[in-house]
Amino acid sequence: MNECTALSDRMIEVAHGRSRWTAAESAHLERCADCGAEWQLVRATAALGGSIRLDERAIAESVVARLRAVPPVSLASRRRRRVAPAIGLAAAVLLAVAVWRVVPRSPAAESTNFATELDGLDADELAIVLEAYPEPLGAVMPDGVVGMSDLDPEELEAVLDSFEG
Amino acid sequence: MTERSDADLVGAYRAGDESAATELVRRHANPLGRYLCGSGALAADLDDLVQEAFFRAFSKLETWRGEGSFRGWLYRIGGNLLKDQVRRRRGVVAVPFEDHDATDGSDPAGDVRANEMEERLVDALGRLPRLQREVFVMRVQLGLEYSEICDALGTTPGAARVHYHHAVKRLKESVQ
Repeated sequence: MNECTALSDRMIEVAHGRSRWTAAESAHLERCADCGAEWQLVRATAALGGSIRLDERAIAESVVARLRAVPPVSLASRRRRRVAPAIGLAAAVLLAVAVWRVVPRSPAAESTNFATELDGLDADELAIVLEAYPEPLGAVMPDGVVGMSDLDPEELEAVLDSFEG
Repeated sequence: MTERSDADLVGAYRAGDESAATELVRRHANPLGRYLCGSGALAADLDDLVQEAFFRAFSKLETWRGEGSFRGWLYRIGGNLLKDQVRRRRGVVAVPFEDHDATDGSDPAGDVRANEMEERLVDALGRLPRLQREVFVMRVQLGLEYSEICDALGTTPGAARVHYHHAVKRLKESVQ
């Protein structure tokens, strides 16, 4: 850090009376036109607004009175307020999944993780979204129903032939 | 008796102690007013702006996660309120000229020079880009550290330093 930068950082403390210039710093301000000009600017700006005197007590009374007039938010309504955006997001995800299945995609698009918005949700909100998410195909089958992954190659071939008629 | 920290007062208010809110207002109302004034608020609007900033800060305390200082967060709320007001008034930024306490009549020529300098400074501040003006005012007028300025303005310490130095350069050119 050079001398001018160090002095620039110190100007604020000196302008606000928290410190004083050393003899060396004062000498630098005398001989360095740039630092001298900056110091004049800082001193003048620090003094601006010094005449502002707000009535802190009156402001505090008004603020507290307004806060008292605001009805307390119940726990249930706080939870609804937190959860509502998650429900909205769940609806958007369902719609996206429905469109995803209908519209053919390239392999690159298939791998796009559209659930990055879920990263910002907490555990409760995430649970709501996941409840709304459809189960992956083959994950859970009704009792007695065999999934495609349970078929051997010959059976699978037969099933695929039947689809193609 | 040592003064309670802002974080302690916030905690006390959250627990239902209204006097903690009063103490926070007492502590920060005038500095917030000076910051808003330096950022372009009219003197006539300061009371309302400061009051609204505190009201919003206390109303939305659950959104303050304690990252950074309460003061920085409060100034961010105040700054946003001022921005909204300026937008509603179609972008007119009026940096008020104030009669300075330093002019006491004992040196009329000196007083005239001081007033002219102040007038040029106020005019030059009003013409700075918003972020440069806000960083400069917070740093110089309020004496905030760059870390607090970042909290208030949503920038980084490095960027705040750059804004400050650009502001100094422009102001020196305008005021000299």
